[in-house]
Amino acid sequence: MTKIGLEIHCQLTKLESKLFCSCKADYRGLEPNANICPVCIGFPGSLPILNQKAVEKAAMISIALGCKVPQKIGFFRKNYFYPDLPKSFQITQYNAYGPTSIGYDGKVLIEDKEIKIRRIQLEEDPGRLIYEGSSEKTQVTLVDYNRAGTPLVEIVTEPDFETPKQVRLFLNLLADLVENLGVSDPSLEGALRVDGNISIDKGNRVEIKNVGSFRDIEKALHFEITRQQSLAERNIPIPAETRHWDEARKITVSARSKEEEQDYRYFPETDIPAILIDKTVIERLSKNMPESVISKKERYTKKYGIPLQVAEVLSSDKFYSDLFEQANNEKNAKEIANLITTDLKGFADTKERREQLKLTPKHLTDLADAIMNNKITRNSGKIALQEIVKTGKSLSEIISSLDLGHVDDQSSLSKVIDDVFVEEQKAVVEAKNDPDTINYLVGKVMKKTKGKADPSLTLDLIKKRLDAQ
Amino acid sequence: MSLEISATQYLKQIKDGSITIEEYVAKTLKRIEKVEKKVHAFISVNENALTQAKQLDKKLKAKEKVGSCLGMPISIKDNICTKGMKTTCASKMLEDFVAPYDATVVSRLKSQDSIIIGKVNLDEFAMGSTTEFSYFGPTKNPWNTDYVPGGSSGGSGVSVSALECLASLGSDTGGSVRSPASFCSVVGLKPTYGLVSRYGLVSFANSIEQIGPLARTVEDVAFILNIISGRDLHDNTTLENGKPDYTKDLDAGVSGKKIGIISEMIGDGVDKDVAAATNRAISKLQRLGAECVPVSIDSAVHSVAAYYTIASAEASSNLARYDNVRYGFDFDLEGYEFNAYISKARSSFGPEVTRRMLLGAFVLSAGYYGKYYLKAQKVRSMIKSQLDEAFKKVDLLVAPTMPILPFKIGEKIDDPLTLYLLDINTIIANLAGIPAISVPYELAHGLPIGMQFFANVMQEKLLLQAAYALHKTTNLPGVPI
Amino acid sequence: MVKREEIERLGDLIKIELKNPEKYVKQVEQIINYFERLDKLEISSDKILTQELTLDKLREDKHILYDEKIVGKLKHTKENFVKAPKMI
Repeated sequence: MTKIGLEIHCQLTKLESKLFCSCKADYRGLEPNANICPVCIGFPGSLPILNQKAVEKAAMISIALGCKVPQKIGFFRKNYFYPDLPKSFQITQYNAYGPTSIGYDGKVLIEDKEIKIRRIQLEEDPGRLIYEGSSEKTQVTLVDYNRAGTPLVEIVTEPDFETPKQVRLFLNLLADLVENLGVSDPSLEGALRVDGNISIDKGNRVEIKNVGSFRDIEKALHFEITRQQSLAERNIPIPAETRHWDEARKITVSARSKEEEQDYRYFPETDIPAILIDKTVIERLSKNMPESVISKKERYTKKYGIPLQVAEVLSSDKFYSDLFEQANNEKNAKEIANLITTDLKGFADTKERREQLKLTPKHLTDLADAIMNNKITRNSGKIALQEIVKTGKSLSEIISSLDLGHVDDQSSLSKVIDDVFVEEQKAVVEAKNDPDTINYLVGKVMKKTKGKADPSLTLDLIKKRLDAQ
Repeated sequence: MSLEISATQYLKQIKDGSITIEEYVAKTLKRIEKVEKKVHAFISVNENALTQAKQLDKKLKAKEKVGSCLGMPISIKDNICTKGMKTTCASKMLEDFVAPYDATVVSRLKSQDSIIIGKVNLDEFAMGSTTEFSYFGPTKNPWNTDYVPGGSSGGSGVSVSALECLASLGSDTGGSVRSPASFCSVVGLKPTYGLVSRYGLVSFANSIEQIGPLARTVEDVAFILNIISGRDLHDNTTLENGKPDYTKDLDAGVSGKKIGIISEMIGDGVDKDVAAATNRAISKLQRLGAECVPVSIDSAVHSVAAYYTIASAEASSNLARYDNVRYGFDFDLEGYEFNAYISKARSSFGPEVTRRMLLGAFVLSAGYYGKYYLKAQKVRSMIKSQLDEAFKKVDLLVAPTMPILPFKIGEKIDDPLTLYLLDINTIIANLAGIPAISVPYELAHGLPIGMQFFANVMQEKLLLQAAYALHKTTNLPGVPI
Repeated sequence: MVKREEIERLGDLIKIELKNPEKYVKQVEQIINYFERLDKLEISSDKILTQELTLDKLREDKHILYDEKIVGKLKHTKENFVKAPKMI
């Protein structure tokens, strides 16, 4: 019986400022030590000033994961010495003397398995160490404090996971959750960090640290289960230890046991008073919480009749679901959903492309309406979309400038069909007996009209012509 | 022009033109030069003081707006950050440290155009009661330079007492403003916890300490309190106080007030001169119309143990950031391994600081939290409850500030526990977060004795009125130096 | 009984190189013994003094650039990084 527990650190990258000062929460891309102030660098006389939104967002995460939020939350100091820790203590939360962290006793269902959340806590990230060159040569460590003080939410689960797949599903859910809540961008490097602990058949617990990405966590866990099982088969006892994930070799390696029980001398951080979070606050936060992915998916399938697979893509991507909500008017919901998940997807697959997109919800509405009312063909719609994305021009402008109008008057279509019949005489002969070849002829007409021909009318006319021959 | 005037008198004389700021500051600087070799109150003196004084005089002459302090020379304890001037905390660990920002109290004083005349001496990191634990050497009591001036804000008490400035800002964790006030015969106030911002005060025991003003009169202390008090966005522990005027109705007197005499603080262990002076003070208060009754705060006997447990624990954490990596003293780190370097650098702390950090690490060690730290917090809560109960029956409490007279330098330095026990009368105010004030009352064998009042949370006005009334009845000689 | 090993352990915990640990043994022991009186006290109430704040009194989430270039004022730096002793 495999038991896996997780310890996840999630940076609240979408906040404007750090947890205890007004420096930038997202430090990426800045010059070293350009994002610091007396507070986050721990200058003598500096004091921490708690960020209100950080508390609210962390509370929302707790609520979303089914946790209880205590009426009074408090902070503690975790004391130890390390170059990336400017005050030589981390301000964090600690429940050993009673539940005072932002969330506790939660639960989530993964594949019908209940995963209990032991606690959720708010804390500050330390700075970053940069190691110059080889460890033998270097005489110093370089430190960048830009990250020191960045708000973190730590989520600790009970060892309720039974398979690495469940872990992956949970992490995907969590990533969607924090993105949907607008608190964090999990795609940013270092924004979501996962450590795991794993034991098999009531054996010793092994901690796995230093796993870079979600995909790797599943691999690391698989490797570790296999490693432990092979030891067990040979009756070799599995030592309780900390192991690091070696990214390059894709194996776990025993970490030097500097991880002995450290005495952190936890005690309350009295520079931050206890924060009162009463029922009305919880109600307000719950009410204002963005709809969950699961709820969206249900709504899309039930209310709009959108097919499940389309609904899944739509609901799990905030960018898509936001567009959908703004563009649809129930009648054109299915069409909009389709446009987004089939056609737009190709133009909006990266963050940069999404930022440069000139498309607005109105464009989608207009496009959907035009297709539904047969003003343009679906094919033309694809072409129009490409233009919209690039130029942002209105649909009507694009239809006229690219001459995308529907060709549905019989005489012009008949002329084109005449031409095709002349060019494809062999096919015309085959088409009398073979329906596939009829489609081939339809395709040729579409090509000649640059996709503007009405497909069903074209088919009709071709069939009539063939019968008449 | 006399330096012996109070801050309030100074303001009057500047306003009516009988003295200029430059004159007064120049005379102050000369005084500092003369007296410092005897008392050693200052760690650094502001070289720009005279220039600042001249600029302010110019503004006054041109009828431009000048802040309410009108160039008043004020000294600042060297554990309070002053931009551009060193803040050493009287420690080798911060020997070269220049803060890039002003403490809130300093910027508030500066915005009222006071002149920071210099940074004054203290026990290293404010840990001590005699200013003998300073890395830069002890400060001496101007009433008799063989004697200690009290501590840890010894430099504050002495600079005010020896006429080297008009007022000072000190910090009070276990009595560190009131003890030098008492030993140096000046007025010293520890405000309610949260009334004055600690932003820029180098933390020692952050759940207990407060910055407090020292001056020669109660009116001066009230004047400074007006400027430095009130909620600060840089300090989450500050409270709204409604910005009252603490100088208003100062002469309301104590008639009709009920004052409790803390029985535990006037019995055994109190020097007979101090006990006699206290009795005379109580009689005086009665003659002024107050009803004085004995009150027992029996949890006070546990206050020293509770205080030192909590304060040491907090100190061991607050001082952990001093590893000489980002700021400190000259000590090249190339080639050293991290733990070895910082351990070596941190061996530059003095013995008292080291002792307290060892104690702090001990009481917070795994397994001991409930036994010492948590228990001490419960005792603290018990003391507050008893005081709350007492304040239901009386308006104020009174006791001598120090149980003994000032003693000779070096006399008690090797006996830390004896020194800790000297805080027995002052500590309950810090633990409970209530305000307390020391006023000069008498001299015995030429050595000062101060009387202490306590009031409940945010009752500074009441406190200042009682202090004012008692101080007015005294007629003490000027400082002999 | 506070022993020399205990003082050395504490010294390591707070990263202070103690040249004469013996010096502190007696004094620390004396003071810890004084603290023991707290342990003997029977206190019925579990109450502890804490300050409290409501959520609305907390700092607004806004980025404010700290305009003083602090890194230049730090003691040991190299190209805007802070130099620290090496980690092994």
